[in-house]
Amino acid sequence: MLKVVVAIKQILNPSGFTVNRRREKIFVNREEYIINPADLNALEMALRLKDEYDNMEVMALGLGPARVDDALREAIGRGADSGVLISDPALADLKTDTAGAARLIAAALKKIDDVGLVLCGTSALDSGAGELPGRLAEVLGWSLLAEVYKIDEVDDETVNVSQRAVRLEAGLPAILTVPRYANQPRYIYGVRAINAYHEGKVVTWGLEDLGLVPDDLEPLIRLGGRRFPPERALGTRLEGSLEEAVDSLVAQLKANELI
Amino acid sequence: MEDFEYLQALMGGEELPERITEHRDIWVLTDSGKEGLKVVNQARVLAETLGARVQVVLIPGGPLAACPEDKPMDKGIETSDLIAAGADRVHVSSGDIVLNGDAETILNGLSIYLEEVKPEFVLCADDWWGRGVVPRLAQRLGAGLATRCLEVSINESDRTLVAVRPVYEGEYYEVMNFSPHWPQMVSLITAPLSQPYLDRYRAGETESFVLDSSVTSGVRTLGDAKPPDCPVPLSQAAIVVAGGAGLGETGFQKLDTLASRLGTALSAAGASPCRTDRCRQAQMAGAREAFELGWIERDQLVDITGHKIAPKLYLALGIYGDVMHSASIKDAKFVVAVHADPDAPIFALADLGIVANPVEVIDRLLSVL
Repeated sequence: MLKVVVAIKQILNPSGFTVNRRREKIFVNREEYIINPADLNALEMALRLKDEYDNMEVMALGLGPARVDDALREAIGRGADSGVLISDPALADLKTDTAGAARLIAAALKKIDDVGLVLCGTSALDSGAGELPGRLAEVLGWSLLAEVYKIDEVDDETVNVSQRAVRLEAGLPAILTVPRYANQPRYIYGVRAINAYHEGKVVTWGLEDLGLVPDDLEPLIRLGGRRFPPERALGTRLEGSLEEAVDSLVAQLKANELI
Repeated sequence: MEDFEYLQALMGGEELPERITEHRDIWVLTDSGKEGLKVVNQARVLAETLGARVQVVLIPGGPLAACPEDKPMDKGIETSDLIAAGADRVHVSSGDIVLNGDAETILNGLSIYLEEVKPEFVLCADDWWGRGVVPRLAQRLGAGLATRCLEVSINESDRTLVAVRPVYEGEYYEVMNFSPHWPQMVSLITAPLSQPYLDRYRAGETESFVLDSSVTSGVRTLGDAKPPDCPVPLSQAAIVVAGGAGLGETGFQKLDTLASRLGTALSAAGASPCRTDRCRQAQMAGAREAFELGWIERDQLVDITGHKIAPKLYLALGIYGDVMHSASIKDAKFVVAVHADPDAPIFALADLGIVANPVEVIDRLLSVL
């Protein structure tokens, strides 16, 4: 049995808020959380392995407050076998950064034991950082294969993947990051989504379960505030006949040394 | 001259606290890509505030790997360019290290080297190999890291970095404060930065070092996969010509000609050393509707789910301009929009707009260019 763990981040749905640059405010119209889109691609890659091979166990791993449970149940509804939630009241006050998150997730992966593959999305839509997989690989000392768009073959010992223009092979356990263009995530069946709440198995681990103390997770960077990009000034419209407008366009582009 | 500037910075910056760490200087990690110069220039600005030196680790290679089949995109930068852009000392790695998909050897060499020299700050460009190396390097050095930043400055009260990074694809920015713990690392998005002025009279030193390559990686290369379709990624193209559903299929086919016409003009002007057709600096792209209609590949999609781009010139032809599209072209320097509908939201983003049938505009452009 090969354990495939998919790391899932829950983020605020960007369609649920609007940003007003002039007032420098974010208006949250609908506080709705979704699974980070690239993580869905990672989950899809894991589920395709499960379709292809008999001996795969797919686990969804989340980190955050209790609401992350919903994200894990959604993953189970899509086809994952079980979920692990790392959640602790102490974490909320700690404002831990990615380095801390990597330690937490690494500890959870060790506790799950005998993990073969870890799949992560290349980056999160909110922070866009893409920092976690690299840090995780270092904490665990496992191989990292970045931007893998296809898993060609996997057995108990090794995994063969296609990455950009090359095919690579690494020994297990390995961490893979999956970009958005890798695949198209499957749809979730309604009944399975509901059953995930009845039958789905999600365990919750706190700091004590993972053998960590808050001092281990002291953040190296903190959020200091928000800034807003400037509003764009209105441009000009070129009037006149089509010929005149295009000629004036070409002239202006040349004047600005753009062509 | 250097010493004078250094002293001046120290004297002028009396309010700067003493360094409370043995870590020193601003280190820039770069390959031979032109983006490295922009990062060196940013480091120079910080160095002036701090009274520190800018040291550069140059690992030759990079653009060659990005352009596998054709001629190399450009010769790559020389140490003299780095000094002209603001470096005080350039450390060139000698030896055959190839920047490919597997970063482990280079990572190991770099971390050994940096642990020895103890940098105070480390800057690098957010390119694709940087993305693979930097987070792991930060973990090895025990450093705080902010990736994909737009701006970086110094908090003068405690000599820590303040980095600004876009979140939700640039909807708004987050200001990240580093804790007083060194080294501190930042990777910068270089596309919105302009190429720095190169001061050919600046003095600097060059030395070569051997990157430790004793650790071989657990990752083996098996062979070639289907190479990426577009050697110059859309995000680095100088001109992007994009079309939407407003063009119709026949109109859309003319985009490619228009892009190559603009690209040829640019190459002739000496902006791009690479004149092979596949690597040209003007690229064709499309909006979501064009992708859904099957007119373009995913590589050419300009959208939140595709590429976020920052070209010098962006031509949106027959693109209505929904939020997903607008968000991905926010960093474009100059936007030209052509759409038949005068109320299309794309005009709100455009520096120049023409309300007309986009196909007729393409025909006219092709006849004048």
